[in-house]
Amino acid sequence: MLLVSGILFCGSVWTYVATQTGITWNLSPVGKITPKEWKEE
Amino acid sequence: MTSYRMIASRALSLVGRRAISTSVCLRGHGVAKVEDYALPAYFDRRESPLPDATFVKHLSSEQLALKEKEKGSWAQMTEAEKLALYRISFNKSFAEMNMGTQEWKSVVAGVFFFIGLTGFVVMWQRTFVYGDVPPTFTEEWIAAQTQRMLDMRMNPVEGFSNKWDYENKEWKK
Repeated sequence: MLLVSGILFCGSVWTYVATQTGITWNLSPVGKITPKEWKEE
Repeated sequence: MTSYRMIASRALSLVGRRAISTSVCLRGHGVAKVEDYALPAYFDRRESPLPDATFVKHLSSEQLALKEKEKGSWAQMTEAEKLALYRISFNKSFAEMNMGTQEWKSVVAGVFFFIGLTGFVVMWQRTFVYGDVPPTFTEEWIAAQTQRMLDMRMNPVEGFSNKWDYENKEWKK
């Protein structure tokens, strides 16, 4: 029981930190970002 | 007699005198009380099956009677009596002492708890310490940057550009 609550506490705190705090994780754009034209004409 | 021998015998006689006077001091105050922890102790340990002392030190009257019976024929003792004798001498049986505990659960729970606390520390840092996120991390900048990296053919063998399908203009599946 203590174990489960410990894991839940840790998990919830860190999912919040990972998703809601606005921290930049700089994940790889591969598979996520659609490349856009960069040359200014 | 050489001078060395004279000095040696003088030194020895001094030591003798000191030794006598110290023992007189001890006898003057009596013998110190022997504390419990200084006596042979009981312990449950697998590698050392017979501890230095019995588990129960002060026997009740029943236990004393049992000990008297133990001096006679063991065949006439009941199982319960033999077991009682065992428990006088020993605290845990081998099976009991080898049993694992649930302690690891509380340890791991504590580990996760403190890691969770450091999450709060990071949250505080994000609010009060971190500066602004630079513009180079906005989605449009990253998109343009990615296209430029692909145009440059960065890491075309096994890395970044290798993952892009140039024919179909999409990421490889």
